[in-house]
Amino acid sequence: MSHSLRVRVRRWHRSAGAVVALFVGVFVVSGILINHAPQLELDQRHVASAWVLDHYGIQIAPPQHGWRIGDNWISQSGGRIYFNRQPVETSEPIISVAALDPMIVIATRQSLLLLSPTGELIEQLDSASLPTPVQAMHVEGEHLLLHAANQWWQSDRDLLQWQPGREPQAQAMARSALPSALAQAIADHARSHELTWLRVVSDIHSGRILGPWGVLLMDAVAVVLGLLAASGLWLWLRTAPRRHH
Amino acid sequence: MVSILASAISSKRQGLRLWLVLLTLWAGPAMAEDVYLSQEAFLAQTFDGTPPQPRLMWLTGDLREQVSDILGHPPRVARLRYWSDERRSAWILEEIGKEHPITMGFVVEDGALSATRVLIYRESRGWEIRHDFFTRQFERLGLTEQHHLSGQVDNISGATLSVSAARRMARVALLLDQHRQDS
Repeated sequence: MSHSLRVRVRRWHRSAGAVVALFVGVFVVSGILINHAPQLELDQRHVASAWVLDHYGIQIAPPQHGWRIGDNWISQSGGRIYFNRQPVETSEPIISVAALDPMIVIATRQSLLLLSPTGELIEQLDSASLPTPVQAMHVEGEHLLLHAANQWWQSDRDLLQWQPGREPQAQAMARSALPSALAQAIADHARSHELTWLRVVSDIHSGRILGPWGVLLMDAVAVVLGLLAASGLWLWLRTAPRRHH
Repeated sequence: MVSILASAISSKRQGLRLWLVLLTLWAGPAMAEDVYLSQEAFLAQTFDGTPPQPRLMWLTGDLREQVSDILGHPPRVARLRYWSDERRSAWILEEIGKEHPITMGFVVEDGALSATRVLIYRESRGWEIRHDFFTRQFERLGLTEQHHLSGQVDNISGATLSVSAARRMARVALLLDQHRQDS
């Protein structure tokens, strides 16, 4: 009886070990990568591989519209503001864009972004320096006008002070259709900056890369590994040479 | 993000993909923003309740290079606003510790730091730098000729990157105050 049980356990131990060997390899490699993620900058590196992004269902539609200032375009995709093809900042949705010579001013509900004519960020003003929430923005001469808290506010030249102002006569800058090549380049950039390698490696380690069933599969593998340890210990104890006194 | 979700929902393997996308959103590096002190409160504390009007400082030329040397990268913005009276200047700076910007306020008086505060902390670890036991270490520190702090600021285990970012911002605040007084 005991001999038969030992044979059965040994067979199970060998078979189960062979079956989970591949998963152990995945555990080991992905675990080491996660442990050293900061040094490998896995949390900073983004996945550009189309099939991985497709597998995660990450699709970003090209932006349809933008604001044209001279030869330059301001647009938004994937939560980022773009100056032509160059990402500027992650931001909430753009409400309005205006040219305040020589700067480009981008308004969101809670902030203003000031860009140079070549797209560098000059300054970002938040609610501590602005009347908010911003509902509309216009430029009149050297002054910026913001509509916030149900009234219009006028800035000084450097946007340091805001005083109640009158409603502007001119229309705000209207959006235009983005050139299709630019829109596609922006969408491609935005798509390739949504997913980090750390997330992918973590999902491989946990099985989430295969969805809910993958997690259960890795749970099962972990249970089998525990049983392998138990059966290995049991076999070792049963076959260890007995001491003679 | 909405477009990602919409796309995932409309895909053929929608169940699997939506699960993965939702999981990514849930488990991703979320940016929780802990505001410990508002800009208004920091300025009110610094200037006895009546802060002066802000002024602008452009980070261009040599100053930009010096700031870049301290930070290890170019400054994110080309100009900063600051507040000053006859005795002191106040600076609100942002620097990334590991993934997200930390917002700190510095008060410089006679070329040395007289107050250091963490205003907003967005990293997932290292929030201990907001405590007085850490920020007190900056008091009375100045800037050496090599643009280093004139004294020791001890590290906090587990908050190394945040401590390092705080040190860099302190050096920048002292440098900008020197530049303010020279110009």
